[in-house]
Amino acid sequence: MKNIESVVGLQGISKRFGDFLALDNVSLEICSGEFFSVLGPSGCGKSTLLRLIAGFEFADAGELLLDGRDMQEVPAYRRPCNMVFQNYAIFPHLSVADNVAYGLRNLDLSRAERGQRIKDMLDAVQMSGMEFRKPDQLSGGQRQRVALARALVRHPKVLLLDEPLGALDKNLREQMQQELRQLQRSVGITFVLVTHDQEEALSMSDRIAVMANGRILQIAAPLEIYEQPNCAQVANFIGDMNFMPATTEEVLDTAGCRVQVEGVGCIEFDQSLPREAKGFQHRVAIRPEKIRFSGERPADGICMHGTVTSTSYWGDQSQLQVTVDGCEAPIVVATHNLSGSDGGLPSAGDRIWLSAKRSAFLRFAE
Amino acid sequence: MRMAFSSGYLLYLYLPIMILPLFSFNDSYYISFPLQSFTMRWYDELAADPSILAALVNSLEIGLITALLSTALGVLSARPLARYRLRGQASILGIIMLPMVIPELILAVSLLVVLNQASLGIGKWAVILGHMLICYPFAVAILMARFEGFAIELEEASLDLGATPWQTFWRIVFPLVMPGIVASFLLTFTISFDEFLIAFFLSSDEPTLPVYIWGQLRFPKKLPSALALGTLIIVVSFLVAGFAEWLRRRHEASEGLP
Repeated sequence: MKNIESVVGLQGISKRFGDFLALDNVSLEICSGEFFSVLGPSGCGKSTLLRLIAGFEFADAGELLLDGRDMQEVPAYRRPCNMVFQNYAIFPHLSVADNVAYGLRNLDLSRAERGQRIKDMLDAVQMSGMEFRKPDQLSGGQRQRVALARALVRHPKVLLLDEPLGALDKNLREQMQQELRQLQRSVGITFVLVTHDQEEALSMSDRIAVMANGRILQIAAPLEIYEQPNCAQVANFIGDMNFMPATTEEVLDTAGCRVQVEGVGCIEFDQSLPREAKGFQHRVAIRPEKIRFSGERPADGICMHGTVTSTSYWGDQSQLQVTVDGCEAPIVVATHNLSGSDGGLPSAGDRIWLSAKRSAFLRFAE
Repeated sequence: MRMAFSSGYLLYLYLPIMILPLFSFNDSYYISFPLQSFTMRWYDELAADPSILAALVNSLEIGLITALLSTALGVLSARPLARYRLRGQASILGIIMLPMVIPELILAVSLLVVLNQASLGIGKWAVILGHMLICYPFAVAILMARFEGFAIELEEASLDLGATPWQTFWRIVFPLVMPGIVASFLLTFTISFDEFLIAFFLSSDEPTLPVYIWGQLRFPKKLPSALALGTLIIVVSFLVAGFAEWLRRRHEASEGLP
């Protein structure tokens, strides 16, 4: 992505509402044609970030570039971006076609060109034939499509989406995720999606920025965000994570180190953490689905022995809560329910062995 | 029991109003049963009386100007009050709504005293001033409800789609608060049109319709034509109120705000 031009650039952006610091020195670059998601819990500043790009808020400090131009003095109605609002904000007194046409009124287009653009856009979001419907005659999914068409018909450089799928029920949401991704590929416009739904972000994005308390914690591709979170906060927010207290036993000459992990024993890692030394207290983490369980001690991998405290059935998977000998924090193990019937899940009270590959273990300094 | 109460209430409400039209078609100076023969005489007399027409014109003029001004001021006040959290919001609202609880008699007398002391004289424009004082709170209350139901995202969406703030107001805000503006206009007009006390004190030699009717009551022979006039006012009021309600419902039905 490095050699593709950047369409959105934020440098040291800060925004304060009274005493509340909504954005704290945020910097990021979004590339042309990228599907970029901003993921974080509610109140983390992600919506403020989007509204700042759109021009509904102005930064207290920092620089915002859109398509290479500084946006500090540019009002919302002159910016090369358009937004899909959380509640869609469809104009209730205008028909579907008039809603879509609204953004073209201030563009210098011929009548024919205008009509063609509206028609093409309604086709693209599968709303042709509904031109004359009023918004109150539309379902939630249809309103969503109108909101998309209305924003995209202006051919913006960047499309901003503020939790656009939050109001839809689960099946429709999954369908719209697919459509949104396909639409983005076909129009080639940069999408910036704000969401608190990690699955949505992981499945749709080229890159994700994870935010908390007004700061960006990590910007990376979905795979890296999930497999190599750069801090415990990201690891905790994206997916589930088991944490175990650990102490460094020895920093090795090979840049690696040997670590004593509660409930696990000794693990050797290839890389040591910054400023790591003997006796360094930190945490080792592993995702629930990367742990296997068995009745007998497995021949390979890193093993733990413990007692099942409870099991829960989630349909596609089951989870075991296990108290591992020598570790206070309960360890969660997730397993896919491959066979239809009770696939030999242990029950509470059973003694079981857990095992995982060494590469599945992550380390966090804090 | 419920039926009895409702019908009793309806009778109590409408019987006196029904008496008015009834006797306006009755061929007698005296309002008493039994009824005499049917006549249109009082309506003819009404049409032939230029001073009634003048009073009607005064009332319409005062009503329209009052409605226009208080609704316009209402829009300007209701928008920020509904949209932003202002410093001292509660006290601002309290002061705006205060004239609703001050007795009109007191308002009328004090206005009279002040205007005379300032040697500004009285007349139609003084009535308009007084009426605006009592109409403005109603306008603000109606319009605030309208602005509060209005999603700010719609304005942002309009800006986002390239419309300037001025275009946004005319293309989005104005059409959507229009039912509130119409409702406020009709209500303030009705209040001004019906109002007696302030008009009585301040209208001087330019009487409004209610003041004129009151003046006519001293002459028994004029009473039937006052009834005829009252009948016309009732009919027009029902039509205006019905129209306002129809308009409001139509907009509510076609809106479907999320």
